[in-house]
Amino acid sequence: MKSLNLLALVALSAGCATPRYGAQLRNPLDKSIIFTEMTTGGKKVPLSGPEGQATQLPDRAEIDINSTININIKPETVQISSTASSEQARLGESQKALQETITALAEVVEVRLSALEAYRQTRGISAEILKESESYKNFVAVTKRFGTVEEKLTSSSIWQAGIFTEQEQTDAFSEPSYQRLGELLQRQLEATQQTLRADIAGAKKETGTLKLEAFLESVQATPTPIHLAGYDNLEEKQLQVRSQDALVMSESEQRALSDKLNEMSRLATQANRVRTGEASLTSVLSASGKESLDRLIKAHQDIEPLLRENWPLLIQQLGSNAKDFRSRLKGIAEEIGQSEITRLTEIAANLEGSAKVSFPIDKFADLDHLVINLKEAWQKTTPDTLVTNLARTRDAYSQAKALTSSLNMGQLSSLRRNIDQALEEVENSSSTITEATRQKLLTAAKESGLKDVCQKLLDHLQLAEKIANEVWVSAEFATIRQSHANFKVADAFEVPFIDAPNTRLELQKTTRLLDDRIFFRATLTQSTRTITSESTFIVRQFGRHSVLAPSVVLARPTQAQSSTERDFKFAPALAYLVKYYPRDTEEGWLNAAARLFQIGGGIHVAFLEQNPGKDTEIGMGLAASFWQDRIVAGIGWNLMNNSRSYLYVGSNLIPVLQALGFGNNGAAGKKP
Amino acid sequence: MKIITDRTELNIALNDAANVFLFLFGQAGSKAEQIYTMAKTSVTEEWRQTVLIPDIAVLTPEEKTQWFSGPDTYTAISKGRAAVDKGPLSNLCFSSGNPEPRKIKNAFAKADKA
Repeated sequence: MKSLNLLALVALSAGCATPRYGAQLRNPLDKSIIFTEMTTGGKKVPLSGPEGQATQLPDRAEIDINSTININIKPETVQISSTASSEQARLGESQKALQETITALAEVVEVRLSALEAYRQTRGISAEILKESESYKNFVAVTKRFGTVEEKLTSSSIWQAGIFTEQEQTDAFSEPSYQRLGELLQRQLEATQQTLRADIAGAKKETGTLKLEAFLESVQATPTPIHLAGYDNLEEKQLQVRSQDALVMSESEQRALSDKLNEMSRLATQANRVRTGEASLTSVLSASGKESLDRLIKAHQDIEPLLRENWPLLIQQLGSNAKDFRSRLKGIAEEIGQSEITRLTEIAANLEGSAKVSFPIDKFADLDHLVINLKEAWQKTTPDTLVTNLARTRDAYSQAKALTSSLNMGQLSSLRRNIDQALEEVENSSSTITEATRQKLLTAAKESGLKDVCQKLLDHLQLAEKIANEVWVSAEFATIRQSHANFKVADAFEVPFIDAPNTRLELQKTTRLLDDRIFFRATLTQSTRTITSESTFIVRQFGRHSVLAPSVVLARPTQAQSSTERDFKFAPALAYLVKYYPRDTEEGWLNAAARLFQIGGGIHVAFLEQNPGKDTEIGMGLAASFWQDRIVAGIGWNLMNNSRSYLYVGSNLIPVLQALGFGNNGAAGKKP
Repeated sequence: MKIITDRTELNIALNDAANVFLFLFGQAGSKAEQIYTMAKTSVTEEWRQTVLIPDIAVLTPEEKTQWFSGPDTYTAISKGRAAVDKGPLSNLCFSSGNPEPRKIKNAFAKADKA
């Protein structure tokens, strides 16, 4: 009973609706990305705050399983230097003014020709009748227009902008036909456009490049990258629309259900073993916990040589030996061609430069103590301490991950590459070097101690990488997802931030399942800094929909005919539930209650063990669920046992039960 | 056209309804003459007449009232013989004091536009 209470408590805490999802904006890149959910019904749901603005970072934001997330990039929110932007603005204004002046000049030239012609038409007409003549009236109209356009040209502010010198203006305007003026303006326009283009290119470089990556994270599965148009070369997957009716399933959903059904059978069998006393809860828990812990302990043991090493001294030796090797190379220089000595000197210089690695020895020692304490705690685990130990072991994994992150594997990989290259170059020198010279190089490398220290470092680094990989891969607990920090989209590429296109994340083109998580990362690389923005989304199904919910239940006949029948027995069950899950923006107390309790109702089938004389017992009946199937309950009739009625309660705590090792020993039991 | 004292040539020019004028009031050898020289080379539209008037006695009293605003000034006159632009001669020059052909053309443009 105590166990049931505990499980119920954990179920409740795990299953209740998660709080609302917006993290604070931390950097300019956060502000420049705006997420909007587009539902299949065409509705827009802002995820970053009020529409068009980024006021919060989506953090576990719920999105519908069939939606598309529009990702709008606004580079203007990340300011480039104010000097650069004002200079561009000035050049832009100047370009515009020049273009307008050239247009005005073209009009002046055209109208002037008309005016000259109109004037010629008035010659020969006597002064007395000139004013009445059509030629004169035409002349007046044309010269009026000429005056207007010429006044506009000569009054342009461009002449006081300091662009042209007094001499340039004098020369240009002195020429009556305006040809020289046209040439002057055109030259200046081209120069301005060239400067503007160079400035924009510089600004583009300054604003940096943007890379976008997105992953689909499922429990106990490696994160899979998601295609973002314009930002990677990933193939577009086919559409997989998730139906509102759970009976319409995609291939991946069918596989997932089949796996879960098998898991339930194993879990129920194990649970019954404990219930009947075949195995003690403590021993089952200890065995499963110990398995997980053993792997941690092995990783801890493997790391001991690294803990014993005097890293600061080793790195210092690398630097000083590389320096010594370089100085010895100078003595051999006269026998080797300039290109060879330069190349080898560069390699030695790289080694010196990369000998600036830091290694957090004290943190590894702390982890050492934590692992030993955990081992002792698991050996004494009881149901009361179960949750605590789970949490502590999860923390240990988190620390291990954080620690291996702090190793700066990029720096260490670079060091490894430089060492590999140095050793290879010294061993396999160019054929243009004489054998005697090659031996001198090898001797220099040996006497400087460079080769030995390089090999030692190489061995250590290979070991560190191996352990790091094992810690990453050994995600024992289903509720711990593999860290997205280590996953990169290999096919992602960078685009100039200033030209970064908008894109979208189409859930229908992923293999998402309900409760999967989408992780999104944007990386802005500028000359002086790199900024990262990360957002997460949880896949839900909103509105009315149905699910197939596997669970492990405790069932018993409603009317017990013996004392043993009064006991609840574990059984796997599968329910077809109709649910309604509203968005958190939908108002009303009914919607609030629906989100709070996450109720489902429907029918179920259960695989019972109420009659020892029967190999297969199937029960069917009604079912209800709460909090994402964390608590399920129902009544039914055992179709293989005189249609006796039964009732059950249960939970979909499969991930936690798996973590406890239930179902690991392969016992068969009655299968669905 | 450069008038010093004779009204006859001015009358002929004024009688041609097609003409517009830029009157420069100043002495020979002064800024007015510099501007006049610049105007003659840069303004070649025949109906645009630049006139240097060192002595305003050549103008009628009515013309003086309408067109003259003081020594070392200019006046742009339209086809309707109205003064459309007036001011000191420095308004037709760069800040350095050199005649500015753009401003001279601007004055004539106002006269044509009116």
